[in-house]
Amino acid sequence: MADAAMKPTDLTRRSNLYRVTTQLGARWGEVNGFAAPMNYGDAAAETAAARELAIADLAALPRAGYKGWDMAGWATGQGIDLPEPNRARAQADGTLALRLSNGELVLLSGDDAGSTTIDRLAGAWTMDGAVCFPVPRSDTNTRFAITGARTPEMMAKMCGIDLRSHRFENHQITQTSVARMNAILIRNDRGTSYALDMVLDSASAVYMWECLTDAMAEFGGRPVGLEALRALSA
Amino acid sequence: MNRNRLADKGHFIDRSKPLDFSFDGKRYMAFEGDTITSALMANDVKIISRSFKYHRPRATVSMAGHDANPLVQIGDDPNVVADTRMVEAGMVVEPQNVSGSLENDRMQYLDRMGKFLPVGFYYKAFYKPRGAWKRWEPMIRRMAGLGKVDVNAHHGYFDKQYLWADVCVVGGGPAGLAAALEAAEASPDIEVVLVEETPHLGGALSYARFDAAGQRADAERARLVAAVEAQANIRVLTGAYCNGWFTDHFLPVIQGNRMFKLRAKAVVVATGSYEQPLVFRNNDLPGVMYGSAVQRLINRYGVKPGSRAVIATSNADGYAAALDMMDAGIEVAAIADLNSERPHHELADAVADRGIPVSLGATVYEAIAKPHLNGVEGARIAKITGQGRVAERHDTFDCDLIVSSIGWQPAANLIWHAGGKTPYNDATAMFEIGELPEGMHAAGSVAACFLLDTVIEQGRAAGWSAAKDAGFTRGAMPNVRNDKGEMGQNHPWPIFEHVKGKDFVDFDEDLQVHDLNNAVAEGYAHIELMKRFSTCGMGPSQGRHSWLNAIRLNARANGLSVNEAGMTTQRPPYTAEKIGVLAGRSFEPKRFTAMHNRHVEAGGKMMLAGLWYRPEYYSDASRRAENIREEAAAVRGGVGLIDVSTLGGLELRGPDAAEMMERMYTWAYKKQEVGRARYTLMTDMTGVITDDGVACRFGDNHFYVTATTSGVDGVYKEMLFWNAQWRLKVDITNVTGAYCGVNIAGPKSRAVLEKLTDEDLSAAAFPYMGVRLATVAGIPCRLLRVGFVGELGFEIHCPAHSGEALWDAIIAAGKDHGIRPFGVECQRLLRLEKGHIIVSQDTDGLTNPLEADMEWALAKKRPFFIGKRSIEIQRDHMHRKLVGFEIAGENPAMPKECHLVIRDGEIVGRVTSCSYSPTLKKAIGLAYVAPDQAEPGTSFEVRVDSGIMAGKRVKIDTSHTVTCKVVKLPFYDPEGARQEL
Repeated sequence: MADAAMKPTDLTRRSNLYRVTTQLGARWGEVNGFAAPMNYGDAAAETAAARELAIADLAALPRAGYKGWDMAGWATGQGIDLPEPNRARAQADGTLALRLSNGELVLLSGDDAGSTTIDRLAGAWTMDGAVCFPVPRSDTNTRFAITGARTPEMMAKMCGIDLRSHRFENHQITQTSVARMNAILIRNDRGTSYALDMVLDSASAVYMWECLTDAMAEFGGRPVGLEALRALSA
Repeated sequence: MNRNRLADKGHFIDRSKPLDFSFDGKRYMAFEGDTITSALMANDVKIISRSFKYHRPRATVSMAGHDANPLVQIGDDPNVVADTRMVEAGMVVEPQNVSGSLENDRMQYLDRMGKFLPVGFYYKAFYKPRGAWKRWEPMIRRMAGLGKVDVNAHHGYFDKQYLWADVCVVGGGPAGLAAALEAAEASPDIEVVLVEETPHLGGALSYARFDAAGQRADAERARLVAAVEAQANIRVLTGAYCNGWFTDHFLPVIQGNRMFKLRAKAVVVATGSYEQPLVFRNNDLPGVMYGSAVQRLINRYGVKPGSRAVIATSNADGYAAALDMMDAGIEVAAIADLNSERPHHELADAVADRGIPVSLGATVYEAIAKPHLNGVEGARIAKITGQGRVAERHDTFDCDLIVSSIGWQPAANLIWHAGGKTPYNDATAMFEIGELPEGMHAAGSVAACFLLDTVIEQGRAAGWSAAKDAGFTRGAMPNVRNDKGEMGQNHPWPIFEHVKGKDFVDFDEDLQVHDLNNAVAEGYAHIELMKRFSTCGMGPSQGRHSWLNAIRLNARANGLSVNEAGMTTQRPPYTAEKIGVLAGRSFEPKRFTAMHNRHVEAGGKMMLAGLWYRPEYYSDASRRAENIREEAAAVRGGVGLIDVSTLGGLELRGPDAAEMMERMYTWAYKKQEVGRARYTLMTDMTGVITDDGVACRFGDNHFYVTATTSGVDGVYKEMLFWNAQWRLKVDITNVTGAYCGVNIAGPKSRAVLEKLTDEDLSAAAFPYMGVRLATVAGIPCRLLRVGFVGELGFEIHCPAHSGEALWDAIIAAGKDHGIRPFGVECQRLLRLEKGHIIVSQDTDGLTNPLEADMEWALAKKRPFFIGKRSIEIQRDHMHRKLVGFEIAGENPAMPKECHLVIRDGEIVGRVTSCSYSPTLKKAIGLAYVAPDQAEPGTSFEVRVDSGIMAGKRVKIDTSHTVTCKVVKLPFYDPEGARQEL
């Protein structure tokens, strides 16, 4: 739930976008030590928009990474249900495990921020005898969700990969260039709605947000809060 | 109602939506759907522009923009094609290349000076004496302009979008519609994109006449368009043009301000053909046009382009045009058929039935001009007596319209771009499709097929083949009849040179028959040379209407066949495109540190460092030098804070991390203690310095290495490259974006930081070059006691999302101590005082560590690091050395970076850094000098082009030199006592 009194600067951890989303009228809730945009004043309208075209700042949601020569052995030993490279797989707690290569894993929390997998692996990893190593995805990267049926058409203005629903399956991953920046795109539908998660350089968050919202304008796309995403999945 | 508007024609216009626009300062009425040309002709406006060279009055020829005549200016948009640009309410259209008024151009006297302005005249006339061209060029450009470019125009909003298709059909005429349908019917899964240049599907079906009754075109158009629109797997792009073909069927398709980057598996080219002009005297006058142009005006826009016409033709198209004109109420005074035999097709029969006189074996060989050339008032027709020759006897007909239909040139640009062959067929006098690249198919008049039934069958076959190429097959390939009909036939020599000239081959460039003959006679015989010398085909229409006749003339002049004369190379783009379309949205990636907005709020003047924005200095730009000096004074005397988040960060973890470090960097790291930092210097295989930084050892198997802002990506890539071969047990991760960094520096820095952490920061507990994991302001951090600026200081690296909070906490804690943020320029000054180099400023693409006087950073006992062997080889070949220097005097002339060190008139080095040090109160710098000049106390000379007297400019004197004296580094605090406090 949004907390009307909360300000992003009340907390130590801040999304690179908080000034932008503040100006857009974000209403905040504390998630994972961040003030996260829960909605922009009309959650119902945002849910409807999210079925057509919308963007959400998911910087607050937990994420982690592991990389090394035997990541697969270690992660499997920790109970991770690993997909093939360039595929994602949902874990029992809603955490999405992205396999970027044979030796690289990224974990993204579900929209409820309730990933126990991320915490469990962080607790289990030690340097002694390590065969893979944590990658600070929480800070190296930020994360957007881009949702709705018109997402592929909009993304075609910025990205050369064919992301249309019948060409880019749910939980398929592409590591590509979007608006001349490296990005990881994961098809991660919310309920029956098409959705992409974008994992990108956190220092480029404002640039990418501006590019995306500019590209979305002709389709009537808009920013939405976490509540709209959760409603789609409900 | 417009004067020339027909009541019952014009299916492109919506008469319920009238609108106003202006042309040449006068207001006119049009209908929605009109183009500028159709609207002007509906309003009886005869002249649209003035010609390029002779300023002759011009109007539409093709009604399709296949020439430069209809180019107009709309606001700051030059060279808009009036034939095809839709009129908009309130649009302000101006004619181009007009001197004075459009009706009475001041420069039309040039038309009478043609004999003094032969082809290539300016190559010969204006190049002497030396430098003359610079004076002539502006004058010539004023006389022969093509619109006005507003160099201050605001960048408009242009866009690009990727698009994917199994089959792309280019051209929405009967062949293209049939092709798209056939391809789409191959499977519900196939994706077809149909690209049509005009706003409406139909192509020739929207204006041409295929039967005597004039009903077939409308019926076929309705049937095919409805079928295409009903097919869910065909995406139709109208008002869009495919401007080129690139490898693997990558097609730029431009629609409005957007370029689609279309990737197709197969392509059907159904782009039609360009009608060609009949060459005769005054064939450029307003009122002389192609049959297809007349039909476009009548049938698409309901415009009657004249009242009494003479027609010259050599195929069924001319007769079809005659029927359309008569149906529109235009009197056809005569038809000159260039063929000597009476044609046998229903169109000719229908014309005969209407009693129109036809002269066989005859041609129009002169248009009689109205006063001031402002139109046609008659046509002279004569019998053809041989190739390009006519009898002296002629018949004269009064008319205001001369229409020609003598042949076509395939619009095969995409085929040519793809390397397809179109040899000339002497029997049909036409370039015809020969060899096509894989996955490309052609149908319709581009493939020399004009009979409607055959065109549709050919389209079906091309669509079937393209679908098959894309992996979709249904049934057998449709049959195509072997009958191309009577339409679209080319006359082999529609060129009738007149003794008085003005028989134009190229309207864009005002080129007449004798111009091309003269080019060959002057030795520019090869087709490529003739093109460039005469500029034939180099105007806006790129030869669409001129090149077929030009090749024929070249072939005849050289005694060759047309195939032997050959074609010049056709390259993209197919037609003019705006640079804005090519640019699209300008994606310029930017990276902002977490503290970026704090810098802006504090008045930071931001500068680019790679993709990052960094504060150059803070506060008022007019006090730049003072700001930098004050920032430096704060660091030297109190405490300053700088954002160093942009510095690179790499994690090396694993049992071979130290081994990896020793191979990648020049120094020794295996014995480096945990909790300590050590300088890093990286060289490449040639021994050249590529980067530097600091290695922090946080564990036996864990190094955290910093790198330069611009160098980190290269360092990371090099490490991955080498370890792909070495296979060491080490993981390398680029964590540049993961950590924000600040450097709090100055004698009071410890006191400020102690307020925020429980860590013992004393020199004993946390000595210089120590590293620690600590909590600062509640944020988990990495603390590094390093001293780039030469003062007591701490680098604090924290998770990026907490960077702003860390900055805020330090600024608040330092308030009582007068903490001041400082920028990149101040840091550069302070490090210079300390004698630290900046890689890529004080080094270049050839600098090795010996030249940079950094032998101290080379591990001597180690057998290998990258670059070691090369450095050793270069030890005996030293040509320069980096030294510190100072300049005597209170207000010395100061060299700038890259000013040259001169000895005996020879360059022996250059200055890399130079600044006035307010702390040391003298000018100091770094420079490369000859090795024998490197001893402290040696003087050397630097040549300056604009010496600076301690901030005040002096008179420029390129011979001015400054004497510098080599001094031992560092300039400031040589014992390092201040940074080790």
